[in-house]
Amino acid sequence: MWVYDAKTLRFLAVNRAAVEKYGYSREEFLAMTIKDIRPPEDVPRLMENLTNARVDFQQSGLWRHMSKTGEMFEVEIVSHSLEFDGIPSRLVLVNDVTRRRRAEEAAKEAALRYRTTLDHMLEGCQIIDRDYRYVYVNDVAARHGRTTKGDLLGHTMMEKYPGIEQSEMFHHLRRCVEQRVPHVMENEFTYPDGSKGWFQLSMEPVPEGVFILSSDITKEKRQEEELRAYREQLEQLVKQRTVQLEEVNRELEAFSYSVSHDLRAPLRHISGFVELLRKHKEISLDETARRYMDVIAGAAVHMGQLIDDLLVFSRMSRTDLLESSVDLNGLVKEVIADLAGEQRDRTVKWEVGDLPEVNGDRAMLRVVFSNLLGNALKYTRPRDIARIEVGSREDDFSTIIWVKDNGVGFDMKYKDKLFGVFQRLHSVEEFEGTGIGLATVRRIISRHGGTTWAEGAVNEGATIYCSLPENAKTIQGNQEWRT
Amino acid sequence: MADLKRILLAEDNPADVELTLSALAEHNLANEVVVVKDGEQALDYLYRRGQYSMRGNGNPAVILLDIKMPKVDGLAVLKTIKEDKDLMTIPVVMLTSSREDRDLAECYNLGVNAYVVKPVNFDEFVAAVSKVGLFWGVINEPPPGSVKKR
Repeated sequence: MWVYDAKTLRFLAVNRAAVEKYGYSREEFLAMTIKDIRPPEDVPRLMENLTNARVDFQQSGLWRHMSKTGEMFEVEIVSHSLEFDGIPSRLVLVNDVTRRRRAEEAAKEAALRYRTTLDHMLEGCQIIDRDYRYVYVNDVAARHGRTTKGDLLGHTMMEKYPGIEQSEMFHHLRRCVEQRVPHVMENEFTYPDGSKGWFQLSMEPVPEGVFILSSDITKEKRQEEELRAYREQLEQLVKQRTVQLEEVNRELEAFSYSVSHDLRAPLRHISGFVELLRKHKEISLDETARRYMDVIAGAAVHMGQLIDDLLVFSRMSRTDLLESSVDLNGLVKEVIADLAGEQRDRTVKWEVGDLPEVNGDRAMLRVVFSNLLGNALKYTRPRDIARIEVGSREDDFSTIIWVKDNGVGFDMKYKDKLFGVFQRLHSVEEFEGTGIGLATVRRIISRHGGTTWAEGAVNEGATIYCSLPENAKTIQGNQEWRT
Repeated sequence: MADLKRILLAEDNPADVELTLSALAEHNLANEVVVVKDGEQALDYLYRRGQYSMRGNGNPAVILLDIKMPKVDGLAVLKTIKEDKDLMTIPVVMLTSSREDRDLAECYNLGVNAYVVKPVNFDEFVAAVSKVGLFWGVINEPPPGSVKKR
């Protein structure tokens, strides 16, 4: 702070702060004019300012001052008139604003850098003010709008895209402007020419209004749509195939129904009328004729058995699995009891191990053991003592169950024939049968996700193995867990 | 036609009719049978329509029904009988070749009184049919309004 002579511009008085700031001693100051504390190039502006209207109180703005050492600083000047020792003079208050100005410049630079960043972003960036006027748009945003920055800046969205107020996007934008609620959305934008594009929009409230970041996701959306179309097509196809399959299944069912009903009737008639003929009083039959009739009746019964077995086979293939936990110990006991008729007048030694509980269709698994144990009984018939073993073991992935007998066995070179429909390794005279039993066993086990195989040798017995996959095994372990 | 008999047999196949009658003859029941050739005739008989409009009053003591018959099948006849309050008390026995689960289930759902699968083997057939005839035609006491035993 100082006082200077309004006419000569000479310093009349300076305070200590000025002495400290400018580096001149009080004496030096008093020998100088106010022109001497600034760079020479600023002097004309000073003179011009001084010649202008002088008012009592003046804020004369920003000036550059220089210290004794030549350090430049910016100051804000406030002055007013007074008389000092009778001399018209002005009192000057000096405020160093260098630091403030530097901060302002740094802020401006930062803003510029920020703008530059926005300008070069890969996403579209726009700032909309509270009147929905474009105040900032980068190149990408202009490209998204298929226009130029110049075309948008200073205009409102409603001017540029009439009707946009009705859109869902604008609804969220308004919420962002008015309630300062940010929002992220995928928006299908319709251009004035009717074409469309998809954008992901992120709206963020900023002091000026709303900042909108936009990414073009048209391509991704198209791909997504194509994918969905494919998926729908696929589902359609699966549905179609399912319908076809169901139809085939229905036909098959109708077929086997008709087999069950219609094929059995003529057989019944053959055997029925053969018997009626045999009993007819007026016909006397010799030995040969009686044998012929036996053959006819036997053939009819055999064919009836074939039909029944085929029906079981087909039923095992087409009916749904009713899965539950099946205790094989109990099941095997039941089947052995059922086969009592085959064991009459024979010595049969059963060796049934401790069998596991498995998950499966109980009725179907019963058919499996009926066949396996029935076969074992049948093919051990020539033995004085039939030994039939039922055992099981676990491996890493499955439970393996076997039925082993000491019967007539089979030649391993026919092991693959064993499980085929109507495949037999013995004549009907040796062992009766239809050749469908093991095929049914294989079908049931494979429907449970398992496999079947056989080992044996002629006259040394046979072993039939079935594996049931791990997931068909019970939760026996879990039960132990719980207790 | 005034024949009024204890057993109504609905069976389209003449060979089956003959075998059934010869089996029923085991217990002298062959003369107690009225034979109809399809479901429509069975219903005509029960409702005294058409050729049976002149038959005497009363219901048979038992109806033996085949499932697969022309025009109206056995299941439809069974359904009609069991839904009619005047006929529903008549015992109905299915006598069929079908051992299909769905036939069994449907018949029992409709309220059948017995279900017999005709065996292929003649001896078994005779045994089964004659037992059915003996039980339902002789041993069983039919509901009131049925044809009386002679």
